[in-house]
Amino acid sequence: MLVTLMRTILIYIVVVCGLRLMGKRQLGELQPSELVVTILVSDIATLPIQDPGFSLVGGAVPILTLVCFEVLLSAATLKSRRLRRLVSGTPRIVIRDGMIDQQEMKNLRYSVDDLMELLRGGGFFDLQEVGYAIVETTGKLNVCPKAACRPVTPQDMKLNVSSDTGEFPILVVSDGRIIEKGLEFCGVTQEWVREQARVHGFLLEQLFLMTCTQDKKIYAVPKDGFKAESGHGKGGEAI
Amino acid sequence: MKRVAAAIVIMALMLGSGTGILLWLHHGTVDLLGDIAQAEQQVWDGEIKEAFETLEQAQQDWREDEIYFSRLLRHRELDTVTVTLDSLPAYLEYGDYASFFAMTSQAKSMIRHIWEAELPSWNNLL
Repeated sequence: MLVTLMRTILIYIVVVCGLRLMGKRQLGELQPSELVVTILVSDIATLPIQDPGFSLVGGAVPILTLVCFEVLLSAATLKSRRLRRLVSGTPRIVIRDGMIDQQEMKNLRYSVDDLMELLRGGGFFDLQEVGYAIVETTGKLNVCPKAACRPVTPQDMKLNVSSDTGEFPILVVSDGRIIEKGLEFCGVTQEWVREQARVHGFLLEQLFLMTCTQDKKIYAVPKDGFKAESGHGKGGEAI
Repeated sequence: MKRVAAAIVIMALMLGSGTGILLWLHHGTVDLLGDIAQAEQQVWDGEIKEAFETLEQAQQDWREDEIYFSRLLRHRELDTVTVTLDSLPAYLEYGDYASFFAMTSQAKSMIRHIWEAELPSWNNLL
């Protein structure tokens, strides 16, 4: 029993390290090769856990081999467009200029129901609103609406809007703790963050979260049960 | 690029250690097969005491190797060899030479199988 417990933890560590080695790209939308690796790794990982007669190294080696091969293959596909097409395929246009490409749908083995389901998933309930629909290599359908059906933008209205630069908020305090990378991004110091918390009647440790922009605009939420001395902002409410 | 470098290093380490383990396994199995063949010859020659000593040495060598082999190979085959080797002195002790030779033959087949199963041959790959 103890052996199984320890082997499970060790295999867990190997799988987590393997997936970390694969990187974030593989954790989102999976390309065909990444899907294969994910399925195989999850299957192989169970063998040494379930069967004590199976050596742990015998389980770790195929996992590491698959992960390393996938990393090397994805690095090679960055260099070679042909290899990328071979491994991941190419995006396919199923609706072009508002017209459904029926041959392409046959090639993809997409039924009308599949297409309508994916369009509805993307927020398009009327086929006539769709200008282009592209099936990506991950199987996801991306839609570009017809010009007349696109949401109005400030550019369409010829409106002058202020620049976005410096308005992106980033977390500087999480659960009462300073996030150093956030401070770096915003160009502020720990003392400045503490001072801002104090101005709003809180100690740093009493904050649930605080975001800050490069323009030094802050948004903070105190932890439950804490109320600002100045009266504004109480537990769980933004200040 | 750090990930690619790490992947190359891990692959190289696995290839290197895989080759090293194969050589080590070859060395261990050849030694053990030699010991068993020697014990068989000694029994043929009526040197039962010497055969006992040879088997004892073979068992000891196998136990030392088995600790490392069991970390890399399937345990079942290794356990079969261990059990078979352990039974051999008893057959000698009670003079059951027919069973002794049957068991040495089984042990040799299993040891050869362990080695052959690890070879990167077409038979194993396909």
